[in-house]
Amino acid sequence: MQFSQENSLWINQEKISKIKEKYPSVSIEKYDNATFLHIDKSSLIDFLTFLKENLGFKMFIDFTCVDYPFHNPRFQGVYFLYSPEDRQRVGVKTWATDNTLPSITSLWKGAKWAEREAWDMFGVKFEGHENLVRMFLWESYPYHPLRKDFPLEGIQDTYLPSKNLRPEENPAHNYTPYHTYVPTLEDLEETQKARMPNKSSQIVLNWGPLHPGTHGTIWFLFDMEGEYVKECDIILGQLHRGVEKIAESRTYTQFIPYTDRMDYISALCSQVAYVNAVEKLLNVEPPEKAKWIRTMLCELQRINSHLLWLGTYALDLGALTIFLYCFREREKIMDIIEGISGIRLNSSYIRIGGVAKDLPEGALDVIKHFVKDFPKKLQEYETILTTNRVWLKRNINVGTISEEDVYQYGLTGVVARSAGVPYDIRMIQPTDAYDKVDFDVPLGKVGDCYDRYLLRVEEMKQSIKIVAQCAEKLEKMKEDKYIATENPYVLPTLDEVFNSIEAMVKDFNLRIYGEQAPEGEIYLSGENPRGELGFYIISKGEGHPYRLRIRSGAFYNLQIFPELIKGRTVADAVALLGSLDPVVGETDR
Amino acid sequence: MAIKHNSGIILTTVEEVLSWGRRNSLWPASIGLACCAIEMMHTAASRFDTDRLGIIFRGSPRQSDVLIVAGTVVNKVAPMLKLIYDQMPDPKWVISMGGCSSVGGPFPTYSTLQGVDRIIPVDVYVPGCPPTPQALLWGIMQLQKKIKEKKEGKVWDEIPVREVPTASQPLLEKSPFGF
Amino acid sequence: MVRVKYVERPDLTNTERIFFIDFIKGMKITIKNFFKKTITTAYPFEKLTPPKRFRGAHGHRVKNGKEPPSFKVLEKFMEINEGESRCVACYMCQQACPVPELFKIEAVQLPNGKKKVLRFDMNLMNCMYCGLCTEACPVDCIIHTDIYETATYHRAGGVAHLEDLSKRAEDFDRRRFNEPDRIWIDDEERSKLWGQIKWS
Repeated sequence: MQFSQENSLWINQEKISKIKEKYPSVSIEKYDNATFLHIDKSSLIDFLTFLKENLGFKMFIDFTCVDYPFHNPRFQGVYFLYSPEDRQRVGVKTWATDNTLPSITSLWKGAKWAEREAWDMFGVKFEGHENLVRMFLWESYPYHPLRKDFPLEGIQDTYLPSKNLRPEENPAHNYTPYHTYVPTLEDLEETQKARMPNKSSQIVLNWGPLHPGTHGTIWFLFDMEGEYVKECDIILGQLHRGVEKIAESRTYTQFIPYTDRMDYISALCSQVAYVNAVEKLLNVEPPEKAKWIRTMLCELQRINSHLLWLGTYALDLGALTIFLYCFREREKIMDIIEGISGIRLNSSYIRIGGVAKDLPEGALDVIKHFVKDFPKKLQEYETILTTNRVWLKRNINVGTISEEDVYQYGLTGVVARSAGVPYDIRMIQPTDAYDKVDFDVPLGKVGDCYDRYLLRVEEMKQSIKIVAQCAEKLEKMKEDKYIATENPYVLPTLDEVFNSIEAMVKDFNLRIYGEQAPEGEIYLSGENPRGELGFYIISKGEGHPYRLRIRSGAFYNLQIFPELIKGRTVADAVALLGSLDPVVGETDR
Repeated sequence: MAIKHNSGIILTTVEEVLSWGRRNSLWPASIGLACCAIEMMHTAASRFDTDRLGIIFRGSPRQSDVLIVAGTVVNKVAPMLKLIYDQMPDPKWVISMGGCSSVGGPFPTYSTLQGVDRIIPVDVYVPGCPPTPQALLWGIMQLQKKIKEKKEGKVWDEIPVREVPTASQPLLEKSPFGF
Repeated sequence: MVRVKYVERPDLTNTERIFFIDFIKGMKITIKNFFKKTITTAYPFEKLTPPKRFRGAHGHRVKNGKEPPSFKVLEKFMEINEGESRCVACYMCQQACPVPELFKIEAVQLPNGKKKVLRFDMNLMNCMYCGLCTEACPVDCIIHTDIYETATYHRAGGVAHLEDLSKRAEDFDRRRFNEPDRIWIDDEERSKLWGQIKWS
């Protein structure tokens, strides 16, 4: 069966017996797709140190909180760890008595931002954290949004009508002139001062939120000495739309269009990762043709994302023609995706159980033409950039990452592979048709920006190889099914609904009540072009999830920026930010 | 052409020339926040060129006359956006691109601003999620039509309230000058 | 089969450094591209036709004799004349939508026992154009047309009522109902970018 490899991905029995010898108060919670260990708060730090040093769980993946309003204590903290030698994951849960938890920044530095986010969203305090401020909202915001008693639309108490209306006019049925509180510039200044409490120089340079050089709205604060940076901090939250809270009131199919608006550059990869997680929870198996179509479109989106990265990175460093050439290739891929799914950018094409529609006629001819034509163009772009002396001077030895940084901060994706750590979810936990195709995973030796550039270009070449293999396989599967509608959790297609009454009744039930998932929890991740995108879903047996946590790769990758920029100039900051490749929709969710 | 005051022959010709110059060389200060920014970059690239219409993207608001707000505007960013709008010199216009900046879009949550027209006045709304580059170019052409018929700003009695387009627009003919 | 491999870091040799060969190779490529034909589609004079599956503005199909068999089952409860929209007020589109506040559907029961749809408003500025409502309609009434030029000067221009929706679908069906389900149909405009493609 396809998923047999992951039963060995969670912690195995001999390690559990070693843990039980040393800590007899540990209790085990085992599901089909996840294993959690419960420990109480007072021995949490010793327990995690034991896991890290003696059992090999060196790499920090994620930390989050869950709100149970009718239980006392109310909040539960969940930690995810990974062991690179044995390739196993483990989850650790603990109850936060008195709404506080000890901070684990002494063990893993990557937990600093995760704990700030938990304070912002839930109100859980962390003892021992060096500067506990709000992550996404401004400092004087009085509420904690992800608690269960806070409404989705917020507390609408300000009168803020639209400026384009005649007085007393109502343009639409869902318009209301009342709105949530909008902060003033003084509130934002307070936020900025709280981030850098002990600055040593005269000015703090704002590489501002609305700047064309940052890739989106990220706010950097540089504490400078002449031309060199001494301290740095990052304020996120300028695109925080509350997607995790929306998920708690939508069914599993209704949430699919929101997943592609998070990482909007490679939308199909995020959808595939989410639908894989939900399919494992509901125990649905998609047909063969759907798996090959999903793999092919994921790899096309990977090429799409790396082309955008190359275009904007070269534009920031001064090479303007590469921007136009890369966008010419992107237009071709967008034409392919528009012809198959309907919209160029945020296509919601994947459904639970398969894909929404079959491939139209002529699609495979166009893809074969693209596969033949693209490697020559890629060779041309490499000739312009790779051995150019200006490019070499700006990229070599800028932002060097070591292997220990990868484990401490939880870096994934190209950033981890440039330091020599072979962490690729397509290799470790292959879903869809990744275990049936041949490809190479490139690794770097030094870990600077030049390595990351070479790795991304090499990944584009490997993706074209995968697309060619998938197109060849799909030629022979023209008449197969593309969605598994005989399963009770899968929505029927339109032809079935028009012609049979049972399909219409099943459609009505699934849309009104949602897919009633069995009770359980799951953590599954997929390989985004930016890193590991993981979904942690808790289901209590209703049609919508109880808690959906999105572990975004770009959020943890951006955390190493303040460490690497110390002692360097502002010009290096542009190159470093480009090579870490953040997307603000995914870091802020 | 609705000229508000009766200025005589010489000044009306000057007004016409100024209005022709303003609408054929709109320089945007692009505020690219989210997914609609990617479609705006595609409109500026070589397949759907904006340079043919005279549009050059400037980085600073002090050198631009139109503000294209592309992407979701969050409550935290709203005062900064108002500061940028105040720094632009007159005459200025605003295009709100996409559903998120027009009415809040598909995010009716605690942290999203439900429509950017609650803080600055908007001239053209372009719906879509995201609007295709051809739809954005149609929106820019609607702004050019508005500049031609009024000098600047909005006049309440003259904007028709509900004109919902119900058919796809035909191709325009090229004039004998070639554009 | 997945393998792991290390990338090599090329460096400049001395002859390349003295004679600027790296710049010359780059300039050769840019000059070669300078003399090729452009790929621009001049928008209001030449347009790219969207494919058949394109998700543009919405429309309501009318009762004209081409309905699916499920309509005959539900037709006896409704009062619909020839030429009016086929909507049976089942509220499935509102249930399937991720943003249900954009619909406003009202139906009333007439004295002869049949239902009639009074009001069907959709605020298309809130819409995500995801297509879940078109997959939920049991009588093939609400569809996506290919109309994308919908820019307005006023917030209320984004709200479509029942008559506008019927007119949009009539226009779309008149032009494109009998088209095959091909990836695109305007080969000449797209050949500027793609070149010649071998169709099978």
